Amino acid sequence: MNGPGTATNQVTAPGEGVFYVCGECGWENKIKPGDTIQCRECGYRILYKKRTRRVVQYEAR
Amino acid sequence: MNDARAEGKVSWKPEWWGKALPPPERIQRLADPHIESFDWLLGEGLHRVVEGLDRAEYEDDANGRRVSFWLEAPEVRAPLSSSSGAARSGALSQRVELREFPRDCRVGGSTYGGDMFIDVVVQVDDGQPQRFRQYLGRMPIMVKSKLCHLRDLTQKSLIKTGEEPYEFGGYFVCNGNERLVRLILMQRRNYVMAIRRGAFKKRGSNYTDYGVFMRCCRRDMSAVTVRLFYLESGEVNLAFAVNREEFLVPVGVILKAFWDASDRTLYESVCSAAVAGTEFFYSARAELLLRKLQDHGLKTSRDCMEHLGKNFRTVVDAPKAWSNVKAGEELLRRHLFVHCADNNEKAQVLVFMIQKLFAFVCGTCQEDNPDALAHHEVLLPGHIMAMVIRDQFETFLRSMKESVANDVKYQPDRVDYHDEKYFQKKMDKYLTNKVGGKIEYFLNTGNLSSKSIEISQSSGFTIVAEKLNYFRYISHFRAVHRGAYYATLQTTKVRKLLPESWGFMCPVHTPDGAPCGLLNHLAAKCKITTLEPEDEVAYFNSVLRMLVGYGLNAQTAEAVRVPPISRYTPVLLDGRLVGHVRNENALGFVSEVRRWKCSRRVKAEEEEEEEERRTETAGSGLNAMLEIAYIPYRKGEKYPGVYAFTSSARMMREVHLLEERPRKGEKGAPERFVLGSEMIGSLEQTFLNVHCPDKYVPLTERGVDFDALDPKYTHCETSPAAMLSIVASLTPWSDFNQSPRNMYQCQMAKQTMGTPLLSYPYRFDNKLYRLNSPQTPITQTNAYSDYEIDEYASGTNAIIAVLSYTGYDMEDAMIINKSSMERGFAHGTMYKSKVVEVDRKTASFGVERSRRADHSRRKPPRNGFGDQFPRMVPNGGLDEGGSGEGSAQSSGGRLEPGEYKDMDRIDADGLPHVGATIWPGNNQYSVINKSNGRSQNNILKGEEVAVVDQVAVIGGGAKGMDKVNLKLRFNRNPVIGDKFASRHGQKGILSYLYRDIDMPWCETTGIRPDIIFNPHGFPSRMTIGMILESLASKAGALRGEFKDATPFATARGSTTDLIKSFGDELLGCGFHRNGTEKLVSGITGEEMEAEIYIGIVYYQRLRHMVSDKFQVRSTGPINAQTKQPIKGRKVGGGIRFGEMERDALIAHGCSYLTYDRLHLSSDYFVGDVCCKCGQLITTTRKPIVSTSMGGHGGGGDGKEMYSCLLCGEGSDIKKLTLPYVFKFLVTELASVNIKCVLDVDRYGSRGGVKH
Repeated sequence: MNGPGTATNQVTAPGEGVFYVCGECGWENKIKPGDTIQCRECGYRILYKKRTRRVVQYEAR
Repeated sequence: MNDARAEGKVSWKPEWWGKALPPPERIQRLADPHIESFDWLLGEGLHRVVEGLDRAEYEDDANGRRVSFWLEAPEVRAPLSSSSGAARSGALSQRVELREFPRDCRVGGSTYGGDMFIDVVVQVDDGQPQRFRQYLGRMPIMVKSKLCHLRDLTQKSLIKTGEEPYEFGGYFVCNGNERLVRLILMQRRNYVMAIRRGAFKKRGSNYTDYGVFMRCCRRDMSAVTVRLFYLESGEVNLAFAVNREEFLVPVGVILKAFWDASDRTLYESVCSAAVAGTEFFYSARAELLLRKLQDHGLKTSRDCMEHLGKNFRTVVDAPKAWSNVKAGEELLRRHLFVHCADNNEKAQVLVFMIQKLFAFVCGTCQEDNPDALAHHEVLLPGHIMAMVIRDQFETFLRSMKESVANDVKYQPDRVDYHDEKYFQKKMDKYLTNKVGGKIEYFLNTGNLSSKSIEISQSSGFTIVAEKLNYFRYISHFRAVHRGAYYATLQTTKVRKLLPESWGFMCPVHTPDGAPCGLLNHLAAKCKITTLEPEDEVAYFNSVLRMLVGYGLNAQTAEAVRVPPISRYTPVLLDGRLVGHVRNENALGFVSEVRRWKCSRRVKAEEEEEEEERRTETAGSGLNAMLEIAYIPYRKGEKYPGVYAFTSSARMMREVHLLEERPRKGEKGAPERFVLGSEMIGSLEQTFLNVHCPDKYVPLTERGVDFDALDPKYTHCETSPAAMLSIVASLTPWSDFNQSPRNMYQCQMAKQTMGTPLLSYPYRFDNKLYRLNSPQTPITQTNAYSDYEIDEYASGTNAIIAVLSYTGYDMEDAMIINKSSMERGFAHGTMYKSKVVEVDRKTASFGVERSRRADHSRRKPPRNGFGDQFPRMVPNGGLDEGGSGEGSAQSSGGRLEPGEYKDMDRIDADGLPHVGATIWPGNNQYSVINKSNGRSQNNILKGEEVAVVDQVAVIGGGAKGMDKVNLKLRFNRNPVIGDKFASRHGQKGILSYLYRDIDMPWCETTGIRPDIIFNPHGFPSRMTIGMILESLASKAGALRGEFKDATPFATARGSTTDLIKSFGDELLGCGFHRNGTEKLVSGITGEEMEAEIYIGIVYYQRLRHMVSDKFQVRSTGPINAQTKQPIKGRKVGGGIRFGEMERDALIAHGCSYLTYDRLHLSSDYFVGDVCCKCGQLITTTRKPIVSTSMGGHGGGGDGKEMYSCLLCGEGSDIKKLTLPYVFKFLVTELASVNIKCVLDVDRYGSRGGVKH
């Protein structure tokens, strides 16, 4: 799980690509629109979206 | 129950998880009939299918050539990833996994299958055969079968591959769904059945209702039934079907064709079965049978063969070169008694059938019950798939032949027998890539339409293995259906529970309602034979040698004389008459074979331990599965004989074989002991005396006292609870409950919201339920630990007070402590997944950045449903208003640079953030239409708030993203209206979440119950098991131990008084021995007068939840034609207020309410009626067009003008309130020339409103 995409802030601008975790080896792949959906490390073709880094919180009011 | 657990010491060992061991044996065996039969198909079955096919021969008279086609060397490969190797090499590292796993197919929505190949061989004249290797497409592979990659994985590796650690396979993954082939009951193969049916008379004049049937099975598991019908004249006709077309032949012709013997021999053979008093009956009919041949001028066996060949040439599709005799021989070989090896054997079986028919007609033998399990076997998945494949291959060979024939006829110049391409083209057309798809179609739909397959139903062969919870999942693999045909029958005869089913089918576990008695479940210990010998002939001979060794007089090849049945009992092995035994020796002969069987079983077990699991222990494994039923002659009962079976698809179960030996040093009766375990079949069992331990037989320390047993018993049950299915055996103390309650529990266990699987992160099922905090029940049965149900727990131990406290627990309603619920009692989750696919050409996943923010969408509710959900905080933090909305929408509707629509939950790739909350009415993801760059709406429907749980992107090889699997999570904590049940068929609806402080509390401990159960639930239902469970669990909880609640404890040798022992334990813990306690009202603080029965019961939460069912509507969509509210919960429709509801209102005299419901709230309409002609549909309404200039608006005072098209300007039009459907009716009537006149005038001015 220590691919190139361990960036802390995952807020991405559209078109820049989004990070996905490989379902087989756990490698983080940055995939831009139009890229082939395949892990660059192991060639596995099912990638999972990472959990958002944005704060998810209960409204405490 | 394992000992450690029974002593209350260990419940779970951490090292269980990491262990590199295969999953537990018992669980592995759950789907055995499925897996083993499929293994047979992959290994031997395919070859048998191909060998069993007849060559397609075409004679080209025009060119004087002969072409034949046949198939050879079928091959199926293990599932490999579909992407080509080239795409993976290069940039990728060496750790490329080429194998495809079931998980990949489940997530990706594809089919788990391997490539299938076959050799098509073409031979022209007698030249060199040409071979063509053909790709047949991807054949679906059963999980955990021979070719599955999960086959021998340890639990550790299973977890690593994202599979269940307790995976037992047995299903196919089709388009991401798990599907399995249903087990269906069939008539027992190779056994002669005597049946009386009125329908036989319809076959023609003279036919009676007597008939005997034999379902003969080929080695590729396809079957052909031979039937004999008895005619009033005493003649017998034989019927057989070819491609569902039935042919009837006088039986003498067939018999003589099979058996080249003198008429005297034939006559004596048939008559040998006559018993005292029936000699004349037999001889007269045997004579008639032979005389019939004389009438046709058929004197010799060759004459008969020629006669058959002449008449059946087209049926066997005989080439011209064949003589009539050859055609006749082919007919007999292909379609009659296909289980036999040669004509001599077939003749013997035919004679046996004729004898049984005569015995049946003259009343010396009884009718066989076609609904009894003794005459049944199971249609296994591998076997039915073999039939599907056989059908495909047959069709292919036929079309090849026809295609060449057509070419010769219409395009002779195209025919070139020496051109490989000519044949290749045809194969591409008819075979290549076709077969795999056909099998997949069969699995996906369960439809089977074929003329050559002898099965009465054509659909419903496959079902989805729902993972609702573990019990339901298991039950799918253990369920046996009687057949779709029987579901349509009006009679209930087929649904009856018959004694023959004992030990094979669970008497408890069948649904109530429509499929009751038709859909049964195998007993936990019942096995279905699947082993087939590699070399059938050799195996058959070895069994035969064994039988001869124990005293069988083998039938000689010439079979000159059939010995009389009065002294000799016929012995049939797999439906082939192999010889006779003397009547007085028969019993000894059979018990010798039993001892042999028993010893083989011990041997097979030893071998299995030494070798690897499920390896071919063919010889001894098969031997132990031999079924031998000895039916002695008794007048008017079942036809006598010794029937032995080695074939597969039979149900068998384990019992102890009892044996006698002389008592050591003592005189008197010999000592009896258990020799070993024996597998017995369902026909066999009917004629055995198997002792089932009960409390009436004296017990010793070691169990049943066999010496005290009636000597008639030769066998003994392994356990009295062995008759139960897995689900039924999980009900604690089911022997204390009223029987139907146990049935209800089996039903409800399968609807429980529990733990269907452990691999949640790797599953994308359409719908999954999950109980957030399941517990181990304190009282559990043996089966609970035997089948490791603890890994898939599905309930919670709840403190139950049996008390009528408020009005809220009437009629099976129950009250739950609100604080218990808030602490997590019965909290649940529902997951919904769906595959989103976009058409790559017209759309793509992405976000829209150009449009203004959309303010019209629904705001998250405040203080409403789903308000308590966490919200995603945008980059700038929550704004002052605290709306928590994306800032994109807050800045006056304009999108700032870098912002886009629905930014609060949708990521830049168009997919939702994992963890984001989606309210109903919000877009779930964003798909951009490529033509205009706009996003499409993908609104979350329903009323529930969803949280994005997982998003999987599925690559298909091409560039770009086009397939996404989206998993949403819904909160399903208990709310009023949800359904709960104990394990004793006691269900109830949560009617009130009572405040903790208002709950009654125990005076001594201060404990408040989790659930208040109404005492009225007990008297009529008599679920004593639940009362006992409450007591036992309470004692168990106090002492920190689990309690064994396996049913029939007294029969198993336990002499403990349950109530006394639990009472003593309670007493020791300082409680009342009856389980009652003094309770204090939480509302008044007064002590209750009665002592309240309070204890612990394991409660299940059922999947029926109000969130899925509630239906409310004030106004909403209406039907366009009738203007009445539409129906359907999904579309926001209403609930029908029907005739009976109307009657109730009328009866109560609620006239205005009737008016309100049926008119005002439905299709209220004001119509115009012309008083002159009384018509509703001739009136028009148009604005008055002012002819004068000046006044604007045209209409003057804005009034409309009404007129009647028939009566003109002078008509008198009134307004009338009507149901709109009435106008609709009048219009419809008008369309068929029926005029409808309203007599408005009769009511004068009250009849309507005048304009």
